[in-house]
Amino acid sequence: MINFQNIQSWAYYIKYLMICFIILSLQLLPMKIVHQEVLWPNLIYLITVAWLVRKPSHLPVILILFVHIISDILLLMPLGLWSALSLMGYEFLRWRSLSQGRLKLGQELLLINIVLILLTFVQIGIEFIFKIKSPPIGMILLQLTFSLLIYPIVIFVLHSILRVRHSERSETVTRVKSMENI
Amino acid sequence: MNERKRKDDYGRIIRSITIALLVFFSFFTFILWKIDNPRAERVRMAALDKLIPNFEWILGPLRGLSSVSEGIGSYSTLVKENRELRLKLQKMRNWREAAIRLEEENSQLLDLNNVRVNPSLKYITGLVLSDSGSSFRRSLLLNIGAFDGIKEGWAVVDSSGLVGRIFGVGEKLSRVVLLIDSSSRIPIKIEPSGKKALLVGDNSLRPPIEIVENIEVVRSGDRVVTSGDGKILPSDVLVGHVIRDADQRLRVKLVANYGRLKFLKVIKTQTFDSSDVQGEVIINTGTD
Repeated sequence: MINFQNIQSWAYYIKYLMICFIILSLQLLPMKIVHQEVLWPNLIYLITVAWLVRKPSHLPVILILFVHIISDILLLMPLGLWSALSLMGYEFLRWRSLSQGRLKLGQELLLINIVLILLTFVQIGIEFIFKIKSPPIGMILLQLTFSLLIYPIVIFVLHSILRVRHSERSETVTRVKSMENI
Repeated sequence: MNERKRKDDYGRIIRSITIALLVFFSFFTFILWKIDNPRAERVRMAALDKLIPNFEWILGPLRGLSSVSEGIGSYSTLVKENRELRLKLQKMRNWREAAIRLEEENSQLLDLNNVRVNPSLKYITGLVLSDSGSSFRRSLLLNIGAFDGIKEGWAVVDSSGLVGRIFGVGEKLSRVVLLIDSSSRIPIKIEPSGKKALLVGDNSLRPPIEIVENIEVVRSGDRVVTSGDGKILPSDVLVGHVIRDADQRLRVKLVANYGRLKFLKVIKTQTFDSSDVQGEVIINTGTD
C-alpha cells in the first residue's frame, strides 16, 4: 500500500540513515590522531534522541538498532553493549513523547541529560563487572559534558536543515495509528 | 471503538515484545563478544572488510579535502622550515662523514668476528584508510590484509620510527593499534644503558615508560628502541627519545610523525605463531 504517509515515512528513514552515515564517516577520517583534545560527542545518540522527541512515530526501532550495531563495529566498541543500553533509553523517550505529548524545551534537555548520564554510568558499571578496560573516567565525563553542551546545536540542525519538527496537534490521532507500523 | 482499542492493545504488546527481543539480542551479542573475544574480533574485522568500501565514496573526497587544507597550512611554515633544514643539513654533513667511517669500520669488525647478520627485514607498505573513530581507541585501518600476507602482531613503522602493531587482520585490511593506545604494551630497550623497560600507552602522545629499577642510568635524550623480547616485534626498531615530564616521570617522545600518518610499512617478522599450527603435527620447525 503506497500512500502519501508511507512515502513521507520512507523519506524520514532515508534521512536518518544518511545523517548517521555521514557522522560515522566523519569520525572515521584519519586526521585527528594529533588533535586528541577534540573528543567526539556522542552524536548518534543526540540525533536519535532529538528525532524521537520530535517524530516518535517516524523512526523504527530496527533502523536504530541497525545504525548502532554498525557504529559499534566501526568504532571498535564492545559489540552490542551500548546498543542494548541506548535502545532502552530510546524506547523510554519514545514512550514518553508518545504518551505525554510534546515536551517543552527545558523538559527535553533535562530528560535527555538524565538518560544519557544514567546510561553512561550503567555502561561503566557493566564494563567494570565484566572486567573490560574502559577509558579513563575523566575522558568519559569530558565527552559527556561535551555531548550535553552540543545538544542545542543538534536540535537546531534537525529543526532548520533536516526539517524534523514537532508534529501538529491534529497529528496525535495518526500518531497512535502509525504506532502499529513501527 | 472497542474493536479499535483492542487492536491498539495488540499492537502495543507486539511492539513491547519486539523491543525486548532486540535489547536481548544486543546483550546476547555483547556476552558472546565477551566470552569469545578473539573470534568476535575476527568477525568484526570481516565486517569491516565489507563495510569500509561502502564508506569509501565519502571518505575519499573528505580525505582529499583535509589534505588540501593541510597543504595550505604547511605553505606558511615552509619558509621557516626551509631555514631550519639548511642549518640541520650543515650539521648532518659532518655526521654523514662520521657515519660512513663507522659503517666501514663496523663491517670490517663484523667480518673479522664472523658475525651472521639477520636476514634483511622486509616491508609491505599500506595506505591508512581510516582511524578508529572514537577518542578512546587509538588505532588505524590499513588497506592491506591477510591477502597481502599480513600477520597478527607485526610491527608497523612510518619513515622514521615505530608506529604500532597489527592487531586484527581482515581479508583486505588490517587494524594497527598505535603505541599511544591505552592497551598498547611494547617491550623496549633504552640505549646506551641497555636498560629494558615497557612502553605503556596512555592515550597521550608521549607514552610513559614503565621501568623496574635503576632509573638513574636513564637520561633524557636517550634513544628508545624495541627490545625484541617476547619474539613478537623485531628488535632495534627506533621508537623515540626519553624525556622527563613535569612530574619527573620518564616518557618517550615518539619519532614517528603521528600528525601525518599516511603510508605505513608493516615489517615482516619471522615469528612462530602458535595460532597458525592448529593441532597439526610439527615435523620440521628448524630451517637451518
